Amino acid sequence: MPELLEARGLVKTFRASGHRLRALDGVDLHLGKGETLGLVGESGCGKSTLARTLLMLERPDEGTVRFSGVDPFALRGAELLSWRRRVQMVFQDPFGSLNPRLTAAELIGEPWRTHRDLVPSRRRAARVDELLELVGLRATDARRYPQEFSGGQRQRIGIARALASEPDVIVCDEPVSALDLSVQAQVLNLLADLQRELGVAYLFISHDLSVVRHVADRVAVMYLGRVIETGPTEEVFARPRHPYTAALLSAAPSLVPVEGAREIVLTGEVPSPVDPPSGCRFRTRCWLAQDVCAQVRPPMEHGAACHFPLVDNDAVVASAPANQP
Amino acid sequence: MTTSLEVEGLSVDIHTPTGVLHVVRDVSFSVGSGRTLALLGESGCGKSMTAQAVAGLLDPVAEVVGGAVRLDGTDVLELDHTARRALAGPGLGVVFQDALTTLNPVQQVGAQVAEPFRIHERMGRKAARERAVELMERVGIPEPRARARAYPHQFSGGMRQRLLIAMAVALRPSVLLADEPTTALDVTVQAQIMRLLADLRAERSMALVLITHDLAVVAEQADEVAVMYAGSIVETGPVREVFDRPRHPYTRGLLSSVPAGAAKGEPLRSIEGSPPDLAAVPSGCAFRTRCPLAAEICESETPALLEVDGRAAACHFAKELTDA
Repeated sequence: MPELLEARGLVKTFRASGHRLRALDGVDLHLGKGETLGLVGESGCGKSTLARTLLMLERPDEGTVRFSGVDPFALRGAELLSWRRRVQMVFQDPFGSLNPRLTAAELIGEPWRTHRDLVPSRRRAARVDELLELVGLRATDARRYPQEFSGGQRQRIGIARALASEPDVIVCDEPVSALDLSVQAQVLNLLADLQRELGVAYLFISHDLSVVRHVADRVAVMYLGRVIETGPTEEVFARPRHPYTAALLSAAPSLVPVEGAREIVLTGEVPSPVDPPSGCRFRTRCWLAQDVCAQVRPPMEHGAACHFPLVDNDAVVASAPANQP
Repeated sequence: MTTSLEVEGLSVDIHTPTGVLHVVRDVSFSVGSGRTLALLGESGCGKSMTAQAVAGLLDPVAEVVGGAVRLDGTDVLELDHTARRALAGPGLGVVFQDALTTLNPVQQVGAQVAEPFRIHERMGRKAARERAVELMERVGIPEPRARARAYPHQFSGGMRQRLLIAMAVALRPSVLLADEPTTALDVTVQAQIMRLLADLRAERSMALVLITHDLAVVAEQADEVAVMYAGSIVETGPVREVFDRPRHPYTRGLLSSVPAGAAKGEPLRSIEGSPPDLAAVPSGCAFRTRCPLAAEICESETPALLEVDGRAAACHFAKELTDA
């Protein structure tokens, strides 16, 4: 499958009050047509910066982005405009991301004011109705304002609006984390249906591991600006190779507690990205760390960037720190 | 086991310009020392309002209109302000979700953690500060003596939550109310905080009331669960039993909405629609408009929360669901 979206060696540094914060520190990523890539990590790991870079809202200091083989950062004028159309975003907050002065129809049709040729003007009203129906709303909802909708319905409007420009990729940044559980399931089902029907690819950012496990074909785990593990979702979830992934999976509460499973409880919190540890960034919290981890950045091999990748999970359980508050 | 907190028939109204909202309706539960009860529900179900009413921290627009809140046997709703403060101040600890807005940004954290000792035990500044440092050490704050002089913004989210927990357990309360204590935290930190709460509960034989929307947290942490919907408890019982064999269609719907339970790629069995607006709660059973089992009786009669072998479900078809 030719890759739709490919990023290599992305580096992005921000300057903040005299400090240099390396939000992305050499990130590789690829996304195929119609595929869902789950992006997982704790706050400050750089997942939002990565999303913003792929959307061309940030220009990387180093590295390349290729979209169908084309570097979007080199595009100008009409070509740039048509690229913009192909990558859309669904935001986390369905309350803050919709203009309260526009009706649902105006919100959904707004992209066509920029991408004029996409839908002929005489077809637009009908197309809004189609989109509303596609996301599970009614054509009569077109004249209503965002305030008149519930959180889940607003998120549907956000999705319809992203679909209006007929994108190839939708970046979903925590699309269901502001929603109640019962509504969350409806929106996840909708996203899955739309992918089947339209073949759109998702970059699905979430802190909720059970959601990512359900929706993603592949998953990338980030820690302090780097992808530390990546692979097919089931493989990564069932047999994590990076200690951080193992700890993250074990820390997430689960509905059906596994009998006899020992929980890995990491000590400390994620270090500040302003002053990250040398070598492997996870080494300060890792129970397997050796001298080499402080000296050499572990290369990505067989899907994990670790000098001492886990080979079987019994060993993880035996060696991991547990039951320490 | 003794009953530390017993809430009976608690009802809370909110007065709004457009009318009165019944946000908590006839809520009853009890929790014993060393046990954890989870109040589980989605936004607007009244779980936080219930906690605030129990803690005596309701917003002025809200009002307790009925019921009793017995803390170690005494109904605190019957007490005047001074008596309630003397009893519930030390007896009932509270931890909220947002530690940054709960702490005073311009006061050293040591002084804030020392405050319960100063106020309720009339300790001197120095002695109270000593106790605060001990407590900060107990909740896992590194170098507590030095950190006591720092301000809240100099702490991470997880450390701020530890400070709140320290303040809440300072006077060895018999009941600790924790309202979404880990919702704002990252997964690995969330695990640390839940572990700390569980350890403190066991060590001090506290009754823990955990208010949350997260089913997995309930499954891992609680002994009993009370599921709330539109202001009422719709199902209650031991967590494992309720989660394994739910007797209320809402509990069922919630459980099947969890992605972890579903086969990959299969659609999740979600609940239709969204939780009702509290200004327009359906008559009879509040869940009937979203319920796959709803029949005529659900519209005309409000189902009672009937107890059968240690469990209860407020559904006309609870028996059918039990046998299913």
